[in-house]
Amino acid sequence: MNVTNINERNTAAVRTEEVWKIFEQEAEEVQAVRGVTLVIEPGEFVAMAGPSGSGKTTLLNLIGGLTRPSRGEIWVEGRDIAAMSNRELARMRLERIGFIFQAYNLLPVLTALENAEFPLLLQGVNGGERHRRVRELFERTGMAGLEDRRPGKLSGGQQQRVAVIRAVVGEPALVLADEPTANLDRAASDALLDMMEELNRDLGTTFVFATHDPRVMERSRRLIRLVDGAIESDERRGSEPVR
Amino acid sequence: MFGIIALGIVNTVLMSVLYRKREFGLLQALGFTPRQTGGLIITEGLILTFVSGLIGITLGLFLTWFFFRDGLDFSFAWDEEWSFSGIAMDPVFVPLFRTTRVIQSLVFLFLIGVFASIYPAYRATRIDVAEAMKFER
Ligand SMILES: Nc1ncnc2c1ncn2[C@@H]1O[C@H](COP(=O)(O)OP(=O)(O)OP(=O)(O)O)[C@@H](O)[C@H]1O
Ligand SMILES: [Mg+2]
Repeated sequence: MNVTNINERNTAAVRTEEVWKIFEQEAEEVQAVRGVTLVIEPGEFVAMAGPSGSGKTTLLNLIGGLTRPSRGEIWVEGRDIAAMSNRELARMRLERIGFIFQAYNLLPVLTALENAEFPLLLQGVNGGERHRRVRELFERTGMAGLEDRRPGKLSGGQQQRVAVIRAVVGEPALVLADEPTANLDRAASDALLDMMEELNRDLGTTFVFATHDPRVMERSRRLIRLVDGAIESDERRGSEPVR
Repeated sequence: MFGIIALGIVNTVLMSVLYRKREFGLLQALGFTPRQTGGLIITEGLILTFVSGLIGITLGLFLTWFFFRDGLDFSFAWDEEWSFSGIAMDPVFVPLFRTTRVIQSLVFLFLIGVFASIYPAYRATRIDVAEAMKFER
């Protein structure tokens, strides 16, 4: 391994090396991820696409430390996550990673603002600072005025926006979003993408999507195609967002 | 008696853990450690037993006060001077109220709350977050 590689490993947002994930079902085994090697640099806006069952969700969960690999290595910001205890993984998720799921992202008993500030609360940031940061993001993303609503009183698109705010509020290195637009109509998807693009540009937050949505693929600046748990193609499209 | 109460509580808390699997999965995706998740459930179990215990005791005290404030008068059945095995007894029964007894029940409830929540809490620490957050179509 040469010097550039070692360097890359230390500065990349994510680096995986021959990662496999094999689920042992009763009799048979499912090879969900098969030897994936990739590097994601800080500030990238990447989409992972592929047919259903191609391993997108599993790969995101591996990167986020929700699932442990069967084989291979994963570094997040240069730290080997195989060497981390469950507790350290939880800490990494709290401080360095934001998750956005397809649905059910928010805690129903909390208001939009309380949901959004939750990571900061866990990090021990004081109340004034929490509100200041969350309100600033609500303003910036056109969500001002909805702070005190509970998720049940928000549209699907608004709920996803709150989830995005929550994902970026702790200034993580990485946001992992699993089909964030799958339950949204076209207008809401576009608005959510605008918002994420803007946050990516202004805050430099790295976004990694797993998606079936052609709009997400179109607007990502790098598209990784997975087939049967392996990378089939990986293309970048310049440094400017494709419009 | 306490065993039956404990079983009921184990059941209630466990159901709530299984039912809210997604919520606990989400908490862990957001950075809760398994231990914090378990702690949350034990706390909930404690609050559950404690609040219901308090309600029970308040209700009990109220009923006692309401029905028995003058004691239960059995004088209609017995003669004024009634004796049992040579010991004279007052036909009016007054319920015994002792603070120590109430505190004792509260301590018992506390212990039941902790013990009954341990297994559900353990189950919650074992939740597979990836599976819990899977979107069911
Ligand atoms: N916990 C699990 N146990 C067993 N098999 C699993 C588990 N999770 C995923 N798999 C299998 O691994 C493969 C990849 O699944 P994964 O969810 O990563 O696909 P995906 O690309 O996200 O699909 P979709 O587009 O439908 O969300 C599938 O064959 C799936 O059935
Ligand atoms: Mg998926």
